[in-house]
Amino acid sequence: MIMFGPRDTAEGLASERRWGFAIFNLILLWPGMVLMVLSVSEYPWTAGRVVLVALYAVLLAQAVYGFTLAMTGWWLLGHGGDPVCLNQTVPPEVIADDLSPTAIVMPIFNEDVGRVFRGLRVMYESLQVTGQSQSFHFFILSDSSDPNHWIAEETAWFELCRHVNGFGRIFYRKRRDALHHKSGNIADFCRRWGVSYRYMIVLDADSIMTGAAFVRLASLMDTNPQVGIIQTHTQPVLGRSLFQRFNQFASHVYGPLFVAGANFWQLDNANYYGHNAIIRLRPFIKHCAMPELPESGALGRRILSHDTVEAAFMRRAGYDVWSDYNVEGSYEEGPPHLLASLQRDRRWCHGNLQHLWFLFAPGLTLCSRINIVIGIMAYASSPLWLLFLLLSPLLFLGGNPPGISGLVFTYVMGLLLLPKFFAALQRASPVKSPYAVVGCGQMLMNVLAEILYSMLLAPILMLFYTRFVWSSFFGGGTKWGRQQRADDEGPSWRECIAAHWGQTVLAVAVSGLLLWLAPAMLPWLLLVLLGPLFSIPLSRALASNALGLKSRQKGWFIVPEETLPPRELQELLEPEKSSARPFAEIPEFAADLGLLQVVVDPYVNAIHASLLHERPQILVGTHEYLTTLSDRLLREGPEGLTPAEKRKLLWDLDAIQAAHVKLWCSTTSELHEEWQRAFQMFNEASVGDSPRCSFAT
Amino acid sequence: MKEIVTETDSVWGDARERVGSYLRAMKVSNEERNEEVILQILARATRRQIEHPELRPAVLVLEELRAATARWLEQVVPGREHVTIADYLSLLAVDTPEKWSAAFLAEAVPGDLQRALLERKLSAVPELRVSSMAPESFDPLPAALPLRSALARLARSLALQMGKKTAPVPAKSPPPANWAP
Repeated sequence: MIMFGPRDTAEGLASERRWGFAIFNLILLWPGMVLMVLSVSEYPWTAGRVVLVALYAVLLAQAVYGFTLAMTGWWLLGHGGDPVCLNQTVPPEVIADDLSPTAIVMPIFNEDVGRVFRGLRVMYESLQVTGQSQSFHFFILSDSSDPNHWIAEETAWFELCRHVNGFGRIFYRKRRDALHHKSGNIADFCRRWGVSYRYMIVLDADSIMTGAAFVRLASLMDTNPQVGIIQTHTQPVLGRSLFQRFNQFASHVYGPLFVAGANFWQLDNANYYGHNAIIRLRPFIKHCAMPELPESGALGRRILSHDTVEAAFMRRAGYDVWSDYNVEGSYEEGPPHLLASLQRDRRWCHGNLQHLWFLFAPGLTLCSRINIVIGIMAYASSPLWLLFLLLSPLLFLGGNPPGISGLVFTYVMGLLLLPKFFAALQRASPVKSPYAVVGCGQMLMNVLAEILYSMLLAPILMLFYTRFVWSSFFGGGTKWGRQQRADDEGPSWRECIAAHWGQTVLAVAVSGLLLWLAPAMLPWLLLVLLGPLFSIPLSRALASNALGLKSRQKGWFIVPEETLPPRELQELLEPEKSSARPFAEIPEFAADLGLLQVVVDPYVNAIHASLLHERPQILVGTHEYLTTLSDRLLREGPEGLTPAEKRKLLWDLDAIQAAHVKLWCSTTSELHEEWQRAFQMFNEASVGDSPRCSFAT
Repeated sequence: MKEIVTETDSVWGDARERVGSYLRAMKVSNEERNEEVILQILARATRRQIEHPELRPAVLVLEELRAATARWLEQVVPGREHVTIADYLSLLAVDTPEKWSAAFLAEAVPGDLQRALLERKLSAVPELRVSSMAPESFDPLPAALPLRSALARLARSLALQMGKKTAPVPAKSPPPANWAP
């Protein structure tokens, strides 16, 4: 626990806050439960109704927890902020000097190479401005399985280093086997270079942090040696589609309340969300390696979501984990549309449910266990909601719904919606924030629109999450895939129909049944049915960049980073200087672009070869095999080799050099026609108007 | 008068084009210097062809270009045991083609180019400092262990009871005739 006073006082404060928070939750839970029991008591008690009340209790507890968080945060932010926060340990006017060595690591997996390296350039240059860049090294930790991404990353790394003079400060590492995905990638960094640095700042591929934020985090860590992890509050920015704009608006307006509320009770036992956070490396290496899960069931084997567990292990090792929402300049880009978001949610859902293994692990603090439960409930509550919604009309068939249920409904809706209005009022108040330019009226309209969006989306998410939970337990594992971060086109109608048709059919069927059997229930459940009923057009509309742009032009869902964009975000949006190599944009070469470039282009070949390791010795058989592969590559074209064979070639320095030299020394008859075309186009592009090189026969 | 182009001219013309393309691809863009380099390379390649008539001009010029670059790099970056691919890349990293375009493969090496190349530490990753990061032993449910063993005992005893009621446990069958310890 951080020393805001004597240690026993600090621990006493944490204890008081946690008890107070729990009691406030119970106080709010009580009337909700009483109303529900009274409502159900209008009918005879049956086993079904007992189950219904039990389900309601769990779901109400979740709603009450959210309400308490938000209102605590609202109260704190309205009264000058929380006096107990990590940020106060280093006054903002203190100029950091001689910071400890810090590695800024960005694990990537088949990401948009242009966006990744543009972001890195922006962050590197922002760090230079602070005058503290000598304490920081950047690491791009690639697990990309696609050779095209791999080769593009290497070239982009070299170009970036040339551009910003970053050799020796910006490093690129490609793993041959992407063992254990992201956590394995980070662990590999820790094993190879971890002891060279005191801290590690972890970024996502779409993260953007300002140089000032990096310096601030390192400075906070230097000042507080008992802190193991500091998680920043990451703001989603640069939203283009309607989906992204809704989400970034909600995160900007409501988010601060929730994080301030969470900090109130979590204090030194906060959570870690896997990126935009700083980690003390020595205890991380010693205590936070991810164990293999037992080999039983679908939730066994390798853990997919490591962050919450790492935070719990760090806390178990005696180090603090803080969430510092006062550190400014921490951003990310959200998924472009609903389907991309669901793709990510599927992995998160499986990962969070795997945390069940750790719920009773020895040595974890109670707060860490609560964090684990909160993460699990983010997805596990969906099947409970579905069950609750299915049971409630079934149990009251043949009669009118109980009269008091109107009060229950109002109470729950109040818990869910009131924080949004409180947040909006606070954010739109004239002295508080850049939202003042929006005005109270516009803010209110935005919040109403966002509530409508949330109400339509919630049941759709509930159905998807229910499916994810089911498949996590019974339907096999979830694969680690590339996260979709940008999509100019959005999903097609066909994709939307394929994703949502089941929900639409279900909603039509349930509406019909209700109309036939219990028409009095229909108005109550209409709120839940509307979203799935219109899920196909809704999903398509939310993915629209045009609608997103229009909403921005009309002043809807504006966030401060749009009205007063920080320099880093402006630079990120600047048009990219084309560094594309010859034939990079030609569709017929797209499938094997990386391999083509390495073999044909001396520049790309030199970069790639310089990043491979020379073999100290090679078996005769292996040498012959690779020589044969190299010959086949030129004779049969890239399509003549399997993906595994291509990867073997790309990983071997001698073989890929040999292929390059052979190509440049070959005659037409010796080469496959794809190489002839590639070579010809390469010469055309690089020679320009000069006569191109023809092949001598 | 009509120019007579022989097959040999055409083959050497292509070889010359290929050296030019290779240099441009490596971003050596000083055309004047390129012409000089190409002529040097062609001169060396023609001399070598007398000794190796079986080798094609395209092969010879590429080999000569790479050999000349290696020799030049040894001169530019003294103290290296052998020139590596990273040295070639260092040339590009310090913008040799643009900043020292006239010096490429020239005998007189500018001192500032030498300094820039020596200072440029071109490495994709820093020096390894290996440490161990091994997971601690993980027992997910220590609290449930007694319960688990109790359940296992119960299941075993139930299975035994059921076995007694349904079918007797078969007596240990004798080993086959050809069985040997």
